[in-house]
Amino acid sequence: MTAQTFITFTDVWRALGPEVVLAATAFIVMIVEFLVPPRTRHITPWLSLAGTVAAGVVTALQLHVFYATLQTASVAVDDFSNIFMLIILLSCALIILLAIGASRKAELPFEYSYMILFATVGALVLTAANDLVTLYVGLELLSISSYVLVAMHRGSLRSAEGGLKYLIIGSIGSALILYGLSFVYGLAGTTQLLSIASSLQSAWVTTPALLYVALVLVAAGVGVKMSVAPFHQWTADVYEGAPTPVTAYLAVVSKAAVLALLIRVLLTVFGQQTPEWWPLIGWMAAITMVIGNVGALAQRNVKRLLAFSSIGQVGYLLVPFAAAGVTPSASGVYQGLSASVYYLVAYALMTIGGFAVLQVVQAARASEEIDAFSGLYKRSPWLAASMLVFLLSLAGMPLTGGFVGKFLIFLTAFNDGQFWLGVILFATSAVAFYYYFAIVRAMFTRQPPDDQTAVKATPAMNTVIAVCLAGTLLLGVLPSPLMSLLGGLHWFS
Amino acid sequence: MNDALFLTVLLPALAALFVLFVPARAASAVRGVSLTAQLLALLFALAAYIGFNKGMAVFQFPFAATWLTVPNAFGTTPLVIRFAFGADGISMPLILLTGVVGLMASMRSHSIHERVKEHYFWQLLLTAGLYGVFASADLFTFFFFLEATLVTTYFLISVWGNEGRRRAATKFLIYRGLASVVLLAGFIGLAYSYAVQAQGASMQVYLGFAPNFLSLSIPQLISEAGKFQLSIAAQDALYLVFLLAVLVEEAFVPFHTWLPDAHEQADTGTNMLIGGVLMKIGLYILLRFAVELLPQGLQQFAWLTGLLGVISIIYGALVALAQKDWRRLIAFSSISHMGLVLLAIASLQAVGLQGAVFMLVSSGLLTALLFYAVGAQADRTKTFEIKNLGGLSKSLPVISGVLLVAALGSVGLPGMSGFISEFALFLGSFATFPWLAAVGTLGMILVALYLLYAMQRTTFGPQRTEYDQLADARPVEYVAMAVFVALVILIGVYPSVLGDVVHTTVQSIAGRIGG
Repeated sequence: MTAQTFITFTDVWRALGPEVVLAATAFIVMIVEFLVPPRTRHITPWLSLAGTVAAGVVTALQLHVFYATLQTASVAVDDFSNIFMLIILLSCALIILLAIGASRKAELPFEYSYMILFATVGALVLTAANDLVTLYVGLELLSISSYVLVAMHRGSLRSAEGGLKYLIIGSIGSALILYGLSFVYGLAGTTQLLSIASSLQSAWVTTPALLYVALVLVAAGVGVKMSVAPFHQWTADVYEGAPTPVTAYLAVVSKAAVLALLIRVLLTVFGQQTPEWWPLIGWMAAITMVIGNVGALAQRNVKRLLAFSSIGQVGYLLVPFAAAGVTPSASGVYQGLSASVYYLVAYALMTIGGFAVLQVVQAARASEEIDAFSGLYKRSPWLAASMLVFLLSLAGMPLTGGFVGKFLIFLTAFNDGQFWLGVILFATSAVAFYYYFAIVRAMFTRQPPDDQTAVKATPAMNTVIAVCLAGTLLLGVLPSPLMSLLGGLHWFS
Repeated sequence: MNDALFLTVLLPALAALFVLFVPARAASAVRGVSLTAQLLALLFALAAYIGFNKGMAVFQFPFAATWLTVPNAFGTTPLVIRFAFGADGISMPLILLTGVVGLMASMRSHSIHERVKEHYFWQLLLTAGLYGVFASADLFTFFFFLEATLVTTYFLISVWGNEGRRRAATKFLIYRGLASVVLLAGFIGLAYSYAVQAQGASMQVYLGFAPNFLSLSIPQLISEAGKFQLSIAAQDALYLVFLLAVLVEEAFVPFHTWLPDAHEQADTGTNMLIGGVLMKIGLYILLRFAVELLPQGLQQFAWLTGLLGVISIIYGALVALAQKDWRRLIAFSSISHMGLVLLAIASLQAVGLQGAVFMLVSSGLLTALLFYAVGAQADRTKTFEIKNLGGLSKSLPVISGVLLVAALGSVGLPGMSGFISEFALFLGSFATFPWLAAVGTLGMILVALYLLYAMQRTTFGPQRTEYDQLADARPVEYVAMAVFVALVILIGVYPSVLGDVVHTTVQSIAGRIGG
């Protein structure tokens, strides 16, 4: 704490540009939503979309711009946060478009258009936070907005049940994280992540037990938030109850943000003792991969099936991180991060795409069961073919983004000598083929039910599906551009 | 000319995409596009076959394009993944086989009237995948096309099959999917062990054209295999992994139950592709990867390999005796014949390996022909049940005659491809495992029993009155059957047409593995 400094708007803009844009949009949208007559309220999501895109542009502009992070800084402006922010904003934009396309007011009243922005501001803060307090503020902003979003379908008992369940379990998760962080603060005497790292050097010698308690509490809390097994039990119920766009939001944006939190906190705060804790992450990844994929086998409801599959996918995302912990060289960690982020991009696209198709089918058939997809090839070849690509990508079929991502993750595990994680990754992927093919089989080999009318999607929905489809295929066929972009990042300053 | 192999893969794949944009009502346009693409691909395969340099044991017609470079994939060495094609004396005949069976299956599928456009789409993709499997010169490329055949065949069975098609297709997917996973583990182990060994060896011996990146190129691995050996333990372990994958992939006993089910449910065109080409992939994997890259592992477990082969020969033949459905009978017959190939590979003799390749080609042609002829009669009699048939030689003399030719070819009548194949492979296996080979010859007696007994019940005997008015083969069927019969007899009478291409490669392999 040196001489008194005045924070100018320029400083804030440089540190929190995207957050400022998004938060401002959120307030504007909120006011607009209050003021305009109900007939014209449908413009509010479009405003949100514009704000999200603008924030995305601001983030993209600061990619590769290098600011040194001070020991005392509350937020870090580095490529690690930039790339996660870009993924979050892209996903958020697609999900808003998906919600616009779904356009069923009963299920998702227009309040979502600013709630989703507040949640996203929290997610952005979470990726950039360099201070325990900032971090917790981001986490709670994301969580509390998400609780509201889940329960937004007012008429539905399931939505209410999901919201309540998410509120209770999510609060426990937040409490665990907070409790763990309080130990860290107690030992380090500061809330800045970089300062903590240096202050803890002696604590690792004198009171390691307390640090392990803190580590386990944080890991468990994060596990709850991103549904890592064995903290995943809430996932299927909440996903099933939430309106589909919100489910997609939980599956993609929440998980991406919390993953960023996990990586940053573990690497900076506990980074000195990676050999001590990486097996914990490794086992979490392994158990999650197995439970997610095996659990999906028994599901007949597509939303629940995708919920379990998203649990399995989180396991994959954790693998490079677990593997990189063994040999904590900078290049090893960066390579692991590249693999994780590549897969995260692919995951975001294929998951949002899958939920978009599900939303259309659900609206046409008033059912989320696998049977609702029967004969989709006849009722809409376009939707059936897109869903096929998304499912094959989730399963990890070559020529899709999911395959390249999984392959990179596998290589990282192998290169770090964690063969067992690689083996589990492939074994569970083989299991995954079985349940994804249940949907494929229904779409292509079953006859459509009596109702033979074509299934039509709104233009907004078709746009979401087209973007996700193009992205999934592009990542699978031409992986080099994104890989070289990730390879050239300054992850941490 | 170097692009010929690449084009065989590309043409059917492009045609498949093109078919998607043809309106569904224009079924004849779809058929035309498919037939043209298959014919062109076959011509390219034929051109490559004729232009193949018979004196060289290396991969010819190389084509490679880098798809992806992963930095620091193996220590600090980058991994380069390529789409690479090429063929040697083992794969070249199988590529041509793919072309012949692919074209004939496409002609046969004219009897498909339901979801025509999609049928040809999947069939063309399957053909491209099969070409790709045999023409690939890179582990990644190989695996990619192998997976392509898995998905496409699944759709072909599950949409255009009979009543039990979904179950059969799912079974097919599970069995072959598991085989793929095991195989992938084998590939990774293989590439990894060779990379570790090559890094160590490059200090001492000169590795010709050793690249400064981790390569998955098959010719590269083969050339490394000529320079150094993996440790015995690694070879043993990897060989067993490959053997397990092949047992499932090739439907050997005790993993055989999926094949009869698949054949019983699939339509005739798909059956020709499965029985004629797809079921040769497993043994091709064994020849290509296990024999060439893990010779000591093969030597160690040659007895096991031979024994498994003999078990499949005898079991397949005995079960075939009891079959009531022609398609199941052909399936078990095919399992039995593939057991012969396994026995031949275990012999480690040049002549045995040559017999193995001959048998793959011969059985491919004969199985496809059997399915074609049986399918042609079923178009007319509406049944595959042997007990419901009888006396067809009077009403369907041509189809019955061709069925008889195919059966006799499978039995191993001299003058046809089956005989020369069996002769060579038994020559090899008697030299190494006289007792196993002696038991294996029992299979030859059994094959005569079950095929000719089934023939007799189908074509001879009292003619059933309901089959009086059947019309015999149409011109398009004449063409297909004539091509198959001509090739079977050509190989039988003039084996050099195939042997010259195979010989040099097989000699060089046998030289390396000490046969």
